[in-house]
Amino acid sequence: MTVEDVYGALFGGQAQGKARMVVITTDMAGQEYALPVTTSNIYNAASGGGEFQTYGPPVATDRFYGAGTVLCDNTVKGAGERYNFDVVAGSAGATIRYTYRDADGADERTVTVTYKPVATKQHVDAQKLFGLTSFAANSSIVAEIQAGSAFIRGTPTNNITSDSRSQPWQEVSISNQ
Amino acid sequence: MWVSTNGGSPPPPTEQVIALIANLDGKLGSHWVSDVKITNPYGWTMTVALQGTPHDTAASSADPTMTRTIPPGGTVGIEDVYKALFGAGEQGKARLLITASNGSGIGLGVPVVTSNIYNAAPGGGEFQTYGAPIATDGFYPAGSVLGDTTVKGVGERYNFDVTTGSSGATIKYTYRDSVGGDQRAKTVSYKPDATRQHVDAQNLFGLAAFAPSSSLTAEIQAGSAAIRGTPTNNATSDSRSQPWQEVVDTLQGTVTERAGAESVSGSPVGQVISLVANLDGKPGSHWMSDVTVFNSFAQAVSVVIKGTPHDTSASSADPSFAGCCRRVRR
Repeated sequence: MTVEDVYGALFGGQAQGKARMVVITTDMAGQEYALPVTTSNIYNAASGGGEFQTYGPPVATDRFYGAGTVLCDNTVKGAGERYNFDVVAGSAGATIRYTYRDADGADERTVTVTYKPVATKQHVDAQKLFGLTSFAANSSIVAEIQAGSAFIRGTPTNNITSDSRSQPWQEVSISNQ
Repeated sequence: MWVSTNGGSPPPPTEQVIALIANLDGKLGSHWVSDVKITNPYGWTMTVALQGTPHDTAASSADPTMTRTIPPGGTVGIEDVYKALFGAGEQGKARLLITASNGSGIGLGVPVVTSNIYNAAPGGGEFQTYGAPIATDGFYPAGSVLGDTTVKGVGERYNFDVTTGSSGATIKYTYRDSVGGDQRAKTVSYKPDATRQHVDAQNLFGLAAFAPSSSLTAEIQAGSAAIRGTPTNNATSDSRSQPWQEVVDTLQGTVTERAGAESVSGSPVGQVISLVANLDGKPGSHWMSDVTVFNSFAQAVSVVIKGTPHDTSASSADPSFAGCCRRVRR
């Protein structure tokens, strides 16, 4: 089953916006069933856009990272790219402390954000979260989930073509927090 | 923490694999180059060793290596890592193994590794596709079934690469069109500790092109492996990397409840897509979203898709629609 422009299918053909989406699968009697292979794409459909498609793998609602988990991404400063990330919170919401570090860890900045339950929040131009005009080369962000549960997906995007991709932040086995 | 072992052996160095790095001419005028970034998120210094193994070759101690030391909280970026390992003027593609330790052979945590392989030819956007690394103890074992539905993107070509564990792998692939009417199987054996890329993957099934909404499943019959698909834009040669997803049940005739599934507030477990959109963005972009659900099971299933506006908690008033995924023909 393929649904094109799934936002329009949900919110009406003329509506504009962005949303969290959940796919719930049951057997024909309404009972819980195994999860199908689900892929999604979000792409630049503007004239001149390549319709290059970035697929974000789904995350099962019982597989969010819990409090105490540390995640990290180091793809925040790609050449000719901008960087957003989105946070998907579980049923209790989430409180997350972020730590930005440059290549040698000398510039270190922290900020803590609280998220609504069962919601997605996208941080556009993520450098602003740390009071930066741009990320430094070879910099990284660590996220420590202090309460609730969540997962985080980074979306570096080419400044010229607006081609984009999606990548989950990786779990860090032990933190230095 | 990890070093204090109550008299046991200290932990060994941690190992992660990047399936492919390259410095190589490709199709449609493309030229592929790879960079890698390694972050040490810990409060101590870490030493990483990088080993390159040529494409479709079993790893050996003769493979070229290099090392880097990363300070606490620091990140090292290595541009054109293929050239750094194999030398200027060399062209080819390879598997990359990254081993992290304290410099004395003791594991002190797993660094955060990202890699990119991109078209660096003139006119290429240097759009970077990062392939997440695979832990060497994280390969899928025999009996696992993986799948991908992104083989037929609009204006795209499709390759996939197979990275194997220490025993190699034998994998049975099944191609199916959207209703399972055209179904083709192919079995391939792979070398141990190696990566093999299937370029123009439709050729593996004797096809000139994949059909719309078609899919591939891979049944690992022996050994262990991970598979990564790389759809690539035909106009720009921009590419991306995505691991094939594990399929819990298959078309083998067995109906199996999802192992380990837990209900959330008494409701069936759902799959969350972080963001879908129909939205103007920058600079002059307009974002839209599609979704594909592939029923790999032996019976029809019901699918409900719900949307919750951005930065809003889900509620029963959120819009939704239902569909029915019939099983594909066996």
